[in-house]
Amino acid sequence: MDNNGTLKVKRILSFLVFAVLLVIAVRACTLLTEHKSSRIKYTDFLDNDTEYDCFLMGTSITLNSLLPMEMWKDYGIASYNFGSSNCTPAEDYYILREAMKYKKPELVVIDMMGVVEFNDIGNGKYMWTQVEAQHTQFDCFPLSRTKAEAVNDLFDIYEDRNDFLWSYIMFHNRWSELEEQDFNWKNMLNVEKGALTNTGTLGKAYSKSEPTGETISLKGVNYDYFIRLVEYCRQEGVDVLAIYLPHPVETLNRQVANSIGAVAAQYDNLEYINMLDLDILDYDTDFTSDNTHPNLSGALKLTDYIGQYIREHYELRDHSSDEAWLKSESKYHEYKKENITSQKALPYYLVQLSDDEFTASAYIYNKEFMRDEWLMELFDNAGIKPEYKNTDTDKNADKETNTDTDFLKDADAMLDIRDEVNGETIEKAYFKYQDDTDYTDDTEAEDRDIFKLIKITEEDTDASEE
Amino acid sequence: MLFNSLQFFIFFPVVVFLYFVIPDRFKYIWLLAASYYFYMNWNAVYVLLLLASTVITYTGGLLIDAAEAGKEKKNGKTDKKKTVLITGCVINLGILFVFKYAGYTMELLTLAGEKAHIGINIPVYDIILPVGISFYIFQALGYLIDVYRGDTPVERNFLRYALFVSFFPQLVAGPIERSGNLIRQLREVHRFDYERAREGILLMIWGYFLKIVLADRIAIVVDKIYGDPGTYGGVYLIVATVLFAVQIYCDFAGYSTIAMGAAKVMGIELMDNFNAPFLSRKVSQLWRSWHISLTSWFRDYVYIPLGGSRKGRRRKYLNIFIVFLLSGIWHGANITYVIWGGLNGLYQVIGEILMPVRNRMVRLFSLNRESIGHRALECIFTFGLFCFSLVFFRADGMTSALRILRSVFTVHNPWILFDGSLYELGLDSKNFHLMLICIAILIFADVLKKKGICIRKVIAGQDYWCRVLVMVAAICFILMFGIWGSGYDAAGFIYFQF
Repeated sequence: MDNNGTLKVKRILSFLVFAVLLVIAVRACTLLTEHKSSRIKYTDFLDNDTEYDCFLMGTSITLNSLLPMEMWKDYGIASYNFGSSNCTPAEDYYILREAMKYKKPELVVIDMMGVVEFNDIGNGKYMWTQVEAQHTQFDCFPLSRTKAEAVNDLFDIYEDRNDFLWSYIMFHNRWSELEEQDFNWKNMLNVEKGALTNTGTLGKAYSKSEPTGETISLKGVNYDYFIRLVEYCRQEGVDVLAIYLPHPVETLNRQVANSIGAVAAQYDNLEYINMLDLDILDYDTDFTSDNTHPNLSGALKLTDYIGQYIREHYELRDHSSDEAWLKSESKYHEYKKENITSQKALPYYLVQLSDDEFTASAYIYNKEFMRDEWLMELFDNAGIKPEYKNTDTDKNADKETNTDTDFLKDADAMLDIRDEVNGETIEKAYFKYQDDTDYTDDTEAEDRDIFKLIKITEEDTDASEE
Repeated sequence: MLFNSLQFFIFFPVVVFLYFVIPDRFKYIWLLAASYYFYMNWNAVYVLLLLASTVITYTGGLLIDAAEAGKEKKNGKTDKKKTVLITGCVINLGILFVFKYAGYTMELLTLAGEKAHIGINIPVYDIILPVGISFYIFQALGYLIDVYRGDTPVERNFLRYALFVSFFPQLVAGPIERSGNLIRQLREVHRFDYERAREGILLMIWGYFLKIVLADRIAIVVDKIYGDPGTYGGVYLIVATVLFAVQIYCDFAGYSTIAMGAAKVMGIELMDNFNAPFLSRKVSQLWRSWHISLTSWFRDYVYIPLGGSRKGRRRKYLNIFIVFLLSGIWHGANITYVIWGGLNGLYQVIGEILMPVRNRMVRLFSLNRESIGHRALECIFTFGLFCFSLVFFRADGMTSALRILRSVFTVHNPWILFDGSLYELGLDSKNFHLMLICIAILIFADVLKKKGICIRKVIAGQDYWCRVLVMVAAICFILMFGIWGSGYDAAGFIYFQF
């Protein structure tokens, strides 16, 4: 090779090295700045060898309601929750196709709320006001023909849809708000198998409509995609269980919920449960403050119902003793413990304690709270019987044995929380009613806001004394 | 197709690759096809205007050449040449007028009619301004005048001439190239040159830095303040105007630099359009370093034909003033641009008139004009004058400009420089500080340029790994800190759990 030839080869190699370094550097920037929500939700599904026989799909109601780890614990069912905020059946269809490239389920459970909710928004196929949520659903799936098809179809009205193919287009300006999660996301992976329980929120739900037997003709873009999903599953030999998860709904939702049964009759791989009026949830104890989403207590009840139904109606393998699931269990248990101890007020504690892996002894030092019906309902829902202790007598008696006596003087309630799995005490939580209002009679006391029974710690007491 | 669009990042490598692999005789035809495709990406129909301007000036050039070579009598020949030149200029400027100024002229006439209580009903057409029309028409006119003067040989190859008018790197935002420089290069055969390509890419990287990291970031603050001058008065407007000066410089220079870099990769040298203008010590010097291709176009084709400085002092001042008024009109169809241009002309005329006084003051106080302090003060004063004129350039209209100037002088709020208010103008503190750091980088680069140090050559002089790392780091810097893409709303993620 002459000098010219050598020079040419050298330059081609130089350019290739430059190109490779550039690709690596840009990839590193992409990984650094991307929002980690998608990886946190799906890494457990994509990277592990764990088998999943059941995919749970739908909106945030599915995300918050159906807990795969509980379903496995109680029924040995291996499921993964793909539910996501404002996820339409059109998105479910593509997420399912992407997910099935990795693991093929025997059953897909899908919530039908999306069939009616999104049709009038944008092109009906995605919530155009909240494209960030769609990034959680799709970003972790690598670039592929299916993904390109999904992006072009779902986001056809979104001018910047290329950012679904290369998320850096959207996220590169996150450099100014990088946080621990961006560097340490592998230690923050979702331990609920895709689900997300609502914590720190509780409210009395109220009904928006009366039960009805009316039906309507199903139509709209999301109904079409639901049918596409069912047919795709039939092609792949997968059963579909359509459900309408219970929450306060409008009459139209009821009519839709009543109408899906007729559709199910047309497909041999489709079953349907209308759960709206099955009286599974208690409107006083099982919802968050938004009158829509279930809290942990509601989620446990719904998961139990669906788990039992699947176990009785489908022949899914029992994964109770699978090594991978057993490994996940301890992390999940720790996560639940943290969820309990991180609560700020007594009612939230009681929601978390509706989980039968934990229990507590409860002491109330202020009689007025014993008369609060909602609080007592929450205790009852958690399976805890609170005990009243007179401040002057019982509390003084405690002083002799309890090292926290000074601290106890300030408390209106106390929970002695135990882990039922290993019998260990997790926490002794003290609560004090923190309100400036001066209540003078019992009537007013009944109006007390139980969310003001705030957890106090020894540090809080010291600080207030100072 | 914008230089900072995904389309361009696919288009450009494809064009360059094919340019260097196809046979030599087809190279310019390929570039012509690519240039027309580039232009048609905006509005395919308007390519007809580009074509019309090309055909008219091409034919004009041939006719002038034919007249020159003909056997008519001397006077007759000159008349014919002149007729062709004038016809070519009138038609081209007519196209420019119709598409750029007709709408505004109609509005002015209607307004004048209303003021004079004359009930005239002039239809106002909403004509979309064809992208780059001011640039390619001036470039084509420059060619016609050059041929008329005999400064450049006539180009007989229509396709090559069409490429001269439409060469895509500089088609829509300059530099406005001269026929003598560009047509000659378009006739040459270019082979791929590694060093030249590398230098071109480095130029493009610098251009992208100016455009998408600096100009587009600054624009967020400027748009916010100028969008609501009622709320943001006083010092806010001073900050916005100073930043706007930097924004418009970075925007324009960025685009020109990308154009120069893209052309250089293909072996074609375009003229440098900006030369550290804000380090100028006089307004006239600033204008010799600002949008050089346009300023020199006006100098060569308007100022000098008007007599330049050859016909006495008063005529010189008048010529300067005319040139800057025309420059203002060229920039946009609004009285504010005319005032902007007029002010800059006025600065220079006053500067010339006061020159003896200034010289006397310097002698009287024994000032050292070359001291750093004196030079810095001159730069700041010149920059301040330019910024003042920019109020008219940036404001939405005359009333708005006057309101802004009143606010600058009447609203007293210097504390906004210290109390964090500046971080509430669309850029958070980190982005604002990044903007300041980037402006510091720009000043540093301009100082080096003024001193004759070329950063590209310094980088090229380093060893391979250093060069590669600098380029990779620069590209990543632009991709991460540039204002591009859809952007995201952090609040959007708050709703994920519901």
